[in-house]
Amino acid sequence: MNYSELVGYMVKSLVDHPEQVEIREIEGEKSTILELKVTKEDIGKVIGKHGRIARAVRTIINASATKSGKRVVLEILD
Amino acid sequence: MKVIEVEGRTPDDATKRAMAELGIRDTSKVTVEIIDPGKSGIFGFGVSRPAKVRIYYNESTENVGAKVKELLLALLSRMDIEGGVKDLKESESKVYVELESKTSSGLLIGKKGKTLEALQFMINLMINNSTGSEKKIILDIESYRDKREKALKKMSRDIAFKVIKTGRPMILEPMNPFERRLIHLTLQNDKRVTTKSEGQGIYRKIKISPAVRK
Repeated sequence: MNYSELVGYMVKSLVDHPEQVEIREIEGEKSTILELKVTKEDIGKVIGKHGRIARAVRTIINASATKSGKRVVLEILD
Repeated sequence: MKVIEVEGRTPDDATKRAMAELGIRDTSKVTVEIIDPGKSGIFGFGVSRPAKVRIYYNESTENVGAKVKELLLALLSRMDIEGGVKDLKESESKVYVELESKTSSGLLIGKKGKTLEALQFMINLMINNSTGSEKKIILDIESYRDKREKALKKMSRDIAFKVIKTGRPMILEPMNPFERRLIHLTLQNDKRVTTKSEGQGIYRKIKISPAVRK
């Protein structure tokens, strides 16, 4: 399961500067941490009002992570 | 079809500006006609003239339904979840999509429909962004929406019954606006109880109280 690819696909279609989207995947034993970096102007576009977009992205990631039994955490860096 | 004229330093620059104005990114969706290629002054001398382009943007030929299907399939495959589009109905203002999945429909629905809700929200955003379409996209799977509606109606009646019996108000779990509306509507004709929403944002929930006797 390639989480970076999934997150990248969603995020890149939401932001104004898809070429500046960076995703780092840190794999641990029980959990995987995804670090997402976008330009300053695009941060609002990946978080959304009251974090609605970020929550949807996390829900979708978790649905695809269910099978692996691993926890996947999405961190949005600023 | 929309037609706009934009000026810029060069024809390319003008086109870029026009795209920004229309809020679209895909250059294949528009036809660009260069009216005036412009003339730049040499080192600030001479007469410089801005370039002018005319952009034809055709919204109506755009098939939003096909795009929705394409995006959904791409998303599902990246989620590593088996599934497809069973039915798709496109109307003036809505696109209704029925998904199917032999092995993972439960996964796509999620707890209390959370995943289906998130997918729907995400697809709406992505389609909005890439096509500029304002059609509302509704996702469904195994008639989940219908079942959930029936379950919510039954639950709200059951709880109303309890409230009447005990004379004590009860608070339901947090729900989205659509589901809260459904419960208000279900119980609005029951004179023995009153319904009210409390709390903020995603934590907003319904309180069912016994009606005050006069």
